[in-house]
Amino acid sequence: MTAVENKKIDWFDKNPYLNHLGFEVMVQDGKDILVKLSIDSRHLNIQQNLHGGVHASMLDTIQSVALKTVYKTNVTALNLNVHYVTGINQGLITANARIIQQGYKIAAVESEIVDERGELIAKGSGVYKIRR
Amino acid sequence: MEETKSTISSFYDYLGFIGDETSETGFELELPLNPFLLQDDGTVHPGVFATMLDIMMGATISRQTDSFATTINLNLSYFDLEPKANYTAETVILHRDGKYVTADGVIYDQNKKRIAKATGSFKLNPKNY
Repeated sequence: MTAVENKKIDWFDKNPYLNHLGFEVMVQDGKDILVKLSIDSRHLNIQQNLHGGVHASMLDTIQSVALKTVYKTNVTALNLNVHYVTGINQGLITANARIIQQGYKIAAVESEIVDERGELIAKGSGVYKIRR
Repeated sequence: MEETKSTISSFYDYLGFIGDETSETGFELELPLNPFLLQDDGTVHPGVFATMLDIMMGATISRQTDSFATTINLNLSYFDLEPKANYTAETVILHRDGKYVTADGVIYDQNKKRIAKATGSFKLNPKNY
């Protein structure tokens, strides 16, 4: 994917949890929204693999970002389902999302995390309440 | 993927969890509300509860089976993301079939109100000492 424009989303930097974990959000090619994470030691579990809570946090984050961008309002997670596919403990991982149902008060999103080679690390889906 | 031993992971410390492995009823986990757990709208990030449930279920399975528990799937429901003073979690193992375990976990606030719930599937790996 060639980046024509890498622009940050303003509110993302004001989110303490996302900053604490080191997530970065990018708008690529003017339309694709991605959340990126450079894995370091603070993200690992006792077995020195990426902690499952990091995958879940990242998938929820990209799903929320995708919805907030479309609806222009805050959203609340009602449900999140995470499939852990491949273990990883270093490098850069990237999350992307796709809205699969866009209702007035409820929306459903699916998402995935891939590594630098494009290998699937985790797959997620979630249902969100739109705060109107 | 949570793989839990009787010691603590980096990410566990980084989010500020407090565990008690000496409890007679099993592993107990608390989470004080730290400002870095919040989002820009003032709610707790759902990933915090996913992390807490993953840790709690993994640790409980690990203790009861003397194996590492690797998370295969987590299905989470969130009931209340407004910040509370602190959180506790409880886990029940629902089923075991050889190397595969299914467990439920629930997070409560300080008033015992239900905050989030998860069902997880885990694979057991023998501990290598």
